[in-house]
Amino acid sequence: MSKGQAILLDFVFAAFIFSIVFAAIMLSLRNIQDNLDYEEKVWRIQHAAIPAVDILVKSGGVPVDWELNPAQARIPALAGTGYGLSPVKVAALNNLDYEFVKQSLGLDGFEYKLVVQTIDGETVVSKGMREQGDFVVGTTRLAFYRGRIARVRLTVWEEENE
Amino acid sequence: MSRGYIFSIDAALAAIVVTLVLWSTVWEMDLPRALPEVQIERLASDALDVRIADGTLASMDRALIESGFRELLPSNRKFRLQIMSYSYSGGFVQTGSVVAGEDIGVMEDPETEAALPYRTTRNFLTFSGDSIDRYYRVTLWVWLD
Repeated sequence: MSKGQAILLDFVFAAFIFSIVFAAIMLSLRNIQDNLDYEEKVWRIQHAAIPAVDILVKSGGVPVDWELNPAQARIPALAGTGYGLSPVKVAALNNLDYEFVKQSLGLDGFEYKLVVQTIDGETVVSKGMREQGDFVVGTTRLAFYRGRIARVRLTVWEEENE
Repeated sequence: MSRGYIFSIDAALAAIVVTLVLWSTVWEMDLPRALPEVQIERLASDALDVRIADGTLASMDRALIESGFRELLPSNRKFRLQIMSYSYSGGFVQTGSVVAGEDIGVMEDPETEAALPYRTTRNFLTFSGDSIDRYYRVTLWVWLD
């Protein structure tokens, strides 16, 4: 083999390896970027949904008697006594405007669906829109409603225009 | 060996190392998301609270306790529950013990909870009139099926 052929072969081999490595690096970077995007979106939704459902179930709201004048509510939360939801607050929340509840629960930039259902199947609250999109986070807490255990499920996803 | 071959082997070795590092990074990032664990912690904790509040745990009825928790926890989760009851008369005296739910499997001793995803404990009381009737200590383990 002449010196010229050896150098050419070596160049072709190196170029082949470089192409494979380059493709692998680009693929990996893309995967990493996709994963980071996914994590970031889920993190943002999760950090909106979890505090919101906690506030709903564990707080009586601000002011604490907001159900007497729902139009003046700053945070329309549902806790009554013990681990129970207040039926009066639940009824008042049902009548509040979707956008108002969204903003007061810190869900700006998201859409939500709130369902309160007793474990024997009675749906007490079903408020909000139908879930859509690839990034939907649902979080559930348990409480009592009129002496029965109820699941409070808040599902949150990004607004479509984002 | 010619100079060209040495360069090629070196390049191939470097490529393998870089690829391994990148793939291992991607692999790490594909680990299960944190959300299900956050979710189950809260749900398990709530389940314990409401079953204490509705008297299910104080009944010390294993079948009732098992069905009560299966009803509340997601079907892809297993649980184990240990309840000890005590009376107090100059000192604590154990009056009962119930273990409900599934076996933890290879971990025979529930105290080796380190490898389990979630464990929570509560203490609660029951009353007879104005006086304390029983003291209870309950531990719940929940893990992915």
